[in-house]
Parts: sequence; structure tokens; C-alpha cells
Amino acid sequence: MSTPDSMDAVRAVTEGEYKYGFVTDMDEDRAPKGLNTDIVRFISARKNEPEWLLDWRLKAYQRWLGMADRDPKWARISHPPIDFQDLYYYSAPKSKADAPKSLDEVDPELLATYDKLGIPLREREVLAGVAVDAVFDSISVATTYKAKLGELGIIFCSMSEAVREHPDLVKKYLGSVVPAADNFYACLNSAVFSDGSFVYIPKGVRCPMELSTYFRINAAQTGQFERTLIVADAGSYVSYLEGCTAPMRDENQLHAAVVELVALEDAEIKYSTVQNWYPGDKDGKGGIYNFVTKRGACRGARAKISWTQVETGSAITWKYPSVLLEAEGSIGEFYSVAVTNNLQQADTGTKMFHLAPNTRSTIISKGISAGRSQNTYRGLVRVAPKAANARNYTQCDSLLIGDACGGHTTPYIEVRNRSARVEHEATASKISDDQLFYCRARGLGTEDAVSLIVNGFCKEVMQKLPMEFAVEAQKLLGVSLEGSVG
Amino acid sequence: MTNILEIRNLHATVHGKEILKGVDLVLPAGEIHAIMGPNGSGKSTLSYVLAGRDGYEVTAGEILYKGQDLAVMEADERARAGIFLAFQYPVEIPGVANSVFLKAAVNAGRKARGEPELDAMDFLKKSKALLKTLDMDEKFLNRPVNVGFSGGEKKRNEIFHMAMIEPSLAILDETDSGLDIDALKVVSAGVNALRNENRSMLVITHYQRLLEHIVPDRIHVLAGGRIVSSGGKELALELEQNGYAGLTGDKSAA
Amino acid sequence: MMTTPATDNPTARAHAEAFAGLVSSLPGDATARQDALTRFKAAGLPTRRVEEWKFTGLDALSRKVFAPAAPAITGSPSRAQIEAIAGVPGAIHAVFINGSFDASLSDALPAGVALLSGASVTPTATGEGRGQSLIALNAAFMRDGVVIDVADGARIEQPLALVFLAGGDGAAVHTRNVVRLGSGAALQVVEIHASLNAAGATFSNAVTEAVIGAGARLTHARIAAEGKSALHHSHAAVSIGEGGEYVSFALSVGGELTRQESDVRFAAPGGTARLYGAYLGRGRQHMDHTTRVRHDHPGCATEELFKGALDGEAHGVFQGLIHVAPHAIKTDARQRNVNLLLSDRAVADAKPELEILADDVKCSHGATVGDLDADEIFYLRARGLSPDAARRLLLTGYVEDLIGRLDDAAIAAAIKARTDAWLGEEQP
Repeated sequence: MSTPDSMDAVRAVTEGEYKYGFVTDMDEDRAPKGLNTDIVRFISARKNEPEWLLDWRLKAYQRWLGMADRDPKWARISHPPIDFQDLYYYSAPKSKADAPKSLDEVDPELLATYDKLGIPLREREVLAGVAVDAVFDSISVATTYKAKLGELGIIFCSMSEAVREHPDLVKKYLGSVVPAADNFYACLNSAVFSDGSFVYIPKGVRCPMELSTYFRINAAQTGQFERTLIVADAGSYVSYLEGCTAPMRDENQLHAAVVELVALEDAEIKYSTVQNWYPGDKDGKGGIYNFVTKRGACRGARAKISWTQVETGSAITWKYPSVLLEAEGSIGEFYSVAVTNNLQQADTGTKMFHLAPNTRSTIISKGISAGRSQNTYRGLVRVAPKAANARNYTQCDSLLIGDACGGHTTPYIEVRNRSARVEHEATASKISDDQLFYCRARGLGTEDAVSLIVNGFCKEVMQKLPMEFAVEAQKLLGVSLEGSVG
Repeated sequence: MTNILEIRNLHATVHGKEILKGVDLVLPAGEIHAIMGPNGSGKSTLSYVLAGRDGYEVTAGEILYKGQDLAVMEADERARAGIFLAFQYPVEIPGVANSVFLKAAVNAGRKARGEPELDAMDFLKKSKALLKTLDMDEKFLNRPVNVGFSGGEKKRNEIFHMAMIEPSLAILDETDSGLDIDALKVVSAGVNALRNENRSMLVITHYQRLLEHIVPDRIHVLAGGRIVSSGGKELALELEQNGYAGLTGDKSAA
Repeated sequence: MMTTPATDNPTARAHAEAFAGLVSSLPGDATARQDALTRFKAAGLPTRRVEEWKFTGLDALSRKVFAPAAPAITGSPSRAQIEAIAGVPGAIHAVFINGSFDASLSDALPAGVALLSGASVTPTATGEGRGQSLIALNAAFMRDGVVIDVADGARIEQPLALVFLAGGDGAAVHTRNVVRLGSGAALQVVEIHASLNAAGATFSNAVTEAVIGAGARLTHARIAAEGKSALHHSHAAVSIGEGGEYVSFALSVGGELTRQESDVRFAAPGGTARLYGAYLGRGRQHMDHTTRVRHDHPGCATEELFKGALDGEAHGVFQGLIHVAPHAIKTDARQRNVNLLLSDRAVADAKPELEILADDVKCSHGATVGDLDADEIFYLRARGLSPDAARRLLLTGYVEDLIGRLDDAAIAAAIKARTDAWLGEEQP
């Protein structure tokens, strides 16, 4: 179990890396709108990428052209068509001249939310994009931790740096779990990905701290087409935290990230996300389209990949963190809380591919819909003929708050092995009047009561989060649902 | 002696149907009054009206709690002001540990009264001591509120909540229903331990049995939405022998 | 492209070409039939790229040409054989050979039950939605079926057995029934779809429309028990009035490919739908049960239980959608699908689905896939049963638990006779 101290230290490490040139040689400029081979070349050139990666991007771009008008339409989401030629595909970190000079210039509503979440003052400035020099007090601590990770042979750096410093590893694993042309948005990402994290944990090493992208992502604004690759070599362990509970503003409406995880024999990767991108206002104006492809491959026997997500942000969430259980005895887990309020839409779930004997998977999904939002669990459990004794247990619960929202469950169960056992359970209900009254008769205000009941509803998932993340996420659930019960 | 509760000519409807038809009742500080009555007489309605449940509408009359008109207060405000309802059917809240729930409740009240919040250590110490007196296992703290509790455990949990919250006015709605004699003794002892000069209680029950263990200062008989008779504790025995029929004019009521 | 254009499919083409020659001999409004054919041609046959057909392909309609069947064929069965095929004790029988009513084999129909004649029904687009072009095809070519009007308050005691027999290689048989129950009426109907000769490759495409009045109760069983080369598609479009009840049992034991669809709508508050189904497959049989229940009104209840037992290389599919419209509060909907895979090459696909747009509801679904419980088998073996006997006993219980939910003894008996026969057959 990590401690708050180590969290701070890791944040400091990542911040330190920024300070030490995480985004060193990027120009302060922005490519023109639109997408063509020149733009792909431009992005690759700005990042001084090797020829093979440029080729990889160009191939992806060609495949993507072939998919034009094939953006997925099967999800229970709706939005106006996206004009992909009307987007910027490369922008350097925003000039400080445009940024707010102090918190006084920041939307008071945003500040009020930071307050409710108990975000420390310094972090608020960074999150709100205030033009501060992000100098932290604990650089020496950071250096110590960075040194410690280095001693263990752990690589934790930006994808750009990894391409330069560890090309063999990147070349071996990039696109090996999510192929360049996997789907429309993953393909787009492969052509134009901006930056992201790279993690390699050597054989037998247990990463001694939670790795977090919290600060680096903000500082470097890699967000729009993020690409993350985590490789856990045989017998290793890593816990990775992505995102943060504070609402993050971003001018780019479309986010199409790709995350690939590779776990070799006996390795374990725990990937936790708290996603709270700007959801748009109460009338559904603005807000991020979060179209993400996340997939892990258990490549070695007894490998384990566990996804935990708390999704409260974005106008539209479209993501299905999945696990390919390719090796005997491997384990996949998916624990999810998705909250939608106002006019948010979420279509999220997982895919568990049982491809080898004795593989196991667990899916726990809690969807909470309020306002006029639509919240869908969509999941696939597939047991291949070879996956003898495969086991899956799925529990999907929907909680509806108010009579104008929707909570939906669409599981696909495909079993091709007799010895498999697959169980799926789903329920939909509301917060009962009895529960609310009971809480209020004990002195709790309505919003506190809702927050308490919702947190109870999500408990099985919340307890899978690293502790300090969980505390923030609990508050987040309450804040996200404010005003949802009259 | 001051009155904790004064109910005057209280009329109340539930989903448009009048259930309480002019209840008058005065409960002085430090006293325990019992409300007895046949099924359907309005006992539970009275408890919900006092606790401020939505859908229970006061159409006439008034309720004064410590001299203050309850009509303007929401259910949770009443609770924070010291009114406690021990539910006839305690509600299950999955996933929420009893301790988390209770700590939030206790501190909501303390905060409202301007008292410092109990920290985790003090809360735990106090809880454990009280659980012992109620013959409850410490694991009740970690179990989700009322989920998977037996009927008796739920009732004990209500008294545990009451002991932790330390209300000025406790309303015990059929706390004896579903309890065997041993559990009844434990629960009664728990309630009696909470008797003091600043705390008043309204004990609602169908049977005289409970009142052998929690001896009330006065007994009121509620029938047809009105208090039809009041008296000392001997009234309970009379009811036990003669039933409610003589009081309500309804021979079928027992 | 989501569908195969009608002209690209030999069966679709054969129908289109036969239409002009046939239409004058078919009852009813020729224009309506022409419109239905136009709708069918426009939609084409569904492919697996249509979400509703994700797990079931109609390739068999391309591999072989199925053309509208001739109205009568030789070699009709005897009356005794009909009763044996139906297996519904004490029933009133109505027999259809290749889609045409055969009065000589049928009982006198009770008052209120009429043959589908030219004037009685105009085939409408009822129930035709995405992936439902087979219903339009039915509307263009259906010849017979029954129209049943049960008067207000009339409770018909005797079950009605509709026996549909198909024969002749490549025969496509389209039948359509309309059942209307007045307020407080009650009726039990069993459809039995069987083959005249076990080897015949036929294509049955049966549609039943039911309108259940306020407080009325319809029990509707469908038994798909055709020969091993037959294709079967049936569709029940049901509307339930205030406080009405629909009890359905869909059994699949025959055919190379069977798909039974139920499309149930609550037209008023307070109705109940109980949908049961069993699919017992072996060899290379493909069996698909697809249900859609729309809760458009408050206070309605749905209970669904579908069980599959799949042996050999059989492929079982269950798709079940429960849709709760906004304001359809106090909906109580429970759906369960259980699949047993009895061999190494059997396959089960399930897609239970909840679509909920109202908050004050109780909805749940569950689906499981697995083999018989090893502990249960062991328990029986420890009591002295052979592994085979233990499995058979457990399977029997598995099916009986389902049949036991039917209140109508005659219908339960007809279904049990079929499932017993399946259980008693040698494992291939």
C-alpha cells in the first residue's frame, strides 16, 4: 500500500522530469488545421523521431483514410459529425502569455469545485492552467526517487523520450496490443499521437511506488492524442495511476488516447484511472469527447492485468479497457464506476478475451445516471475453444437518479468451451425513498445522503483504488452528483 | 418542568388520506410516554410525521419541539436538532459501513450544535463501549448498514444509533416487534440506560410486553387518529386484559 | 452495407419472381402484398452485420433456393398422426399443410375462431423493424393461418392446437395468425411446426399477431420441431392491454436453423408478460431465441426465463432486450438465461440487454454458461447413479423446472412430450 508521501514524491518526480526537459525540443508553435501526410511528417519531425516510427505513423494514416466515415456508430451515444479536417493535430504547450495570470482570472465555479475536492492551492493553479513556474520544494526528494527507480532498472518517462532512449523496447511493443488500424480512433491516434507515458518494469522487480502521470500530463499538455505503453517483464509488478479528480479544462474537444499494457509471465499491472475531463455545462455545451482505446495483453502464464476506472467527466465517454488473456492461468479484472449527470453520455465497459486454459476474469461495473444523461455498460466476454476451465464473473449495476436519465446494460457473452463457467448479473434501480429518509432521519442532508448511498453502491470498485486516490474519488462522486436530487 | 414536545390538534394525511384526526399530547423533559393502539390507529403515522417524512402532510394543528414549530424543519434538520426515530423497519444501505454512516450522522449533529466533531479514535472507543452494553459484536461496525442483519440485530442497531447520537427526543416505533424475550431485555436495558432528565422518549407499541421492561411515566391510547385515553402505567395492564375494544368501540380490535 | 440486397439472394429472388404468378391466387389485398414485397426488396435479407442478427446468419437461404410452396401436397398424414404430432390432450386441432388449411384433418372450430380469409386481414407492416424483413416477406406470401376473436369475458377451456406441417424440398411456407382477446377473455394456443418427411429441407416463416384486451389472458406456446434440414423463423408480435397477461413458451427441438422471436409491448398499465423458452440442440443445429419487451406504460411486470442445452456442435443464441420507456415507473422486469454446454464443440452466445429510461423501476437480468454442476453429478453418483443417468436426471430437472412454470396442463404436457423425446434420444 502506498502512502500519501510516496504519492507526493511521485508527483514531484514526474514534475521534476518536466523541469528536466520532458518536452525539451518541441517548438512553441502549432501546425495548421487539418490532417494530411505533411502534418504526420511535421509531428514526427518536431519530435525528432526515427524513420521507422514515421513510417508506422504514415501507414496508420493511410489505413485511417480507408476508414473515413467509418467512425464507430454502434455505441449508445450521439454527437454532431466531427470534421477531422477542422482540428489541430499538433500544438506545442500553450504559451504562458495566454494563460490566466492568477487564480483570480479563473472561472469561480471551477475554483469552488477545487475547494469541495480539497485540492491544495498550488495544485489548483497548475490544474487551472495558471501561468506559474511549477517549481516544487521537493526536487531533492524527487531526485532521490528517480534515482531509486533507476537503480531498479525501471524506466518511467515520456513516450518521446522512450523513442529516443529505448527504441528497441518501443519498437517491440508499440502497437503489439492495439494494432495501428485496430479501430477508427486508435488508428487516428497511431498516425498523430502526441505524447504519453512509457513504463518498463524489469524482470522480478516490484515497483516500490504508484506511478502517476498526474502532473506531467497537465504540464506538457499531451492530452489530446495520448499514447501510453506499459511493459511489465516476467515476475514484476506495477501500479499506475492516470488522471486526477479535479476537473481539467482542455481546449481540444476530441481526445483519442491509446493505452497498451503488456504483462509477461507472473507479472501484474494495476492500472487505475480517475477521469474528470470537462463534462460541458448544464445544457450540454462544450465538454470533452473522450474516445479511448485501452487494452492489455497477458502474454505470460499467470500474468494479471487489472483495470480500475472512475469516470465522472467528459461530455462523451467511449472506452472499453480490455484484456487479452493469451496465456494459461492469466487473470483480467475490470472495476468501473461511471457517473453521468446533466447531458453527459457514457458508453463504457470492457472486453475479456479468454484465449488460454484456466484464465479468469472479473467485471464489476457500477453506472450512475442523473439529470438527462445516458449511461451504458457495454461488455464482451468471449471464451475461445482453447480456453478450458475459463471463469468469468460479471456484475453490472445501474443506479438511476431522476426520471429523465437512462441506464443501460448491453453485455455480449460468447462461449465456445464446455468447461467454461460464465456468469453475468445485472440490476437497475434507484436510490429508494426509504434509504434517503433513513439517512435524513439520522441528520444527514440530502446531498450528503446521496453521496453516502452512491459511495456505498460503488464500494466494491472504490476499494480497488489506491488509498489516497480513493479518498479523492469518493468526494468526487458526491460533487459530480450535486443538485441531482431535488 | 419544560415540555420537550407539545402536539396540538394534529391532523395529518398520508397520500391524501387523513390518518391523524386531532392528536393532543404533551411530553415533558425527562419523561417516557408510551403510545399504544390497535393496528391502523395511526401510531406509525405519528412517528413519521414527527420525523418529517415526505408524503406525511400536516393539514392542521401544530407540533412544538422545545417550543419551536417543527413544520418549517426538514427531516435532517429535525434529526440534527435532537429528534431521533428508531425505525420499525430499519432500512438497508448496501456498501455503507455502519461505522461510516453513524460517524457521519453523529458529526452532522455535533456540527449543527457547534460542538467539535468526534475523531476516529473517540468514535471507535465510544462505539465499542456501547456495542458491549447492547450485546452486539464489534463486527457490526464494519458491516453495511442493516444489510443481512436479522430482525433483532436491526432493532439493536437502532438503539445503538440512538445511544451514539444522544438525542433529546427519541421516538421508538414498535421497537419490540420481532424480538424474542432475551433480545427484548437487552434492548430495553439499552434504552433504560439512556434515560435521563434531559431526554424524553415516545415509545410506540402494540403490546404491553415492552412496557414491563421500559416503564413509562404515562400511557396514551391512540385510536382512530386521536388520543382516546391517557393514564399511568396501570393502563397498559388494563388494555392487556380488556383489549382496545372498549376504548375504540371496535370489538374486532385486539 | 448492412443487408444483402434481395436480388443477390437466390431464395429472395425466387420469391420475387414467383410473386406475379401467385398473387392472384392468394387471399386478401393484392396491393398490400405488393407493398410488402417492395418493403422486403428494399430491406433485403438481414446479415450478421445487423446487430439483431449478430449471432445468426441466414446463409442457408443462399445455399439453397426456397420458393413459395405449392398449396397442397400428396401423402397427407392421418388424423391419428396429427394428434400424435400435436400431443396436446383434449385440444381443438386446426391443421395446415404447407400453409393451407386442411379441413378434413381439422376439428370443427369453436365460435369465435375463424380461418384467415381474404377479407379478414390486410397484412400490415406490424412488427417490421430493423432486421425484420422476413415479416414483410411473410406479409407478401402468407396464405392461411387463423384469425381468432375471443369475445369479452369468454374463457375458452379447450386448448387450440395449430398444427403446421411442411414438406417438399425447397418449399417456403408463410403462415400468419391473428389472435384478439376481448376484455377478460382467456385462451390457450399451441403452434406446432413439424415436417411431413423428416429429411425435407423446408423454410417455415410464421408470424403471429396477438392483441390481448384488458384483464385478458393468452397462453401461447410455439413448438419448433421440424426435421433436421428445415429452416424455421417465427415471430410473435404481442400487445398487452391493461392488466392483461401473456404467457409464452417457445420450444426449439428441431430444424437445422431455428429462430423464434417475441416482440411484446405493453399497450396500457398493469400488464404481465411471462416469457419462457427452451432450446435443446445437438448435431449442427442452430437455435436462436430473440425477445424484445417494451415497457411503455407504468406498473407492468415481465418475467423471462430461457434455458439452453446444447450438445454436439449445436449453437444456441439468446438475445433479450427489456426496454423501459420514460415514465414507465414501477416496472418490474426480470430476465434470466441459462445455457448448458454438453459437449466440447457446442457454442452458446447470449446478449441480455436492459435499456432503462425511468428511475423508479426494478429490473435485472442474468445469464450463465457452463456445464452441468460437477458437485451435483457427484452427489447423484454417490447415491449410486451412473454418470450418464446422473446427467440425464439433472437435465430432466433442468427442463422440468421450466415447464413447471406453465399453469396450463395440456400445453405443459405437449412440451414435456417433446423434451422427454429429446432427452431420451441417443447421444450422437
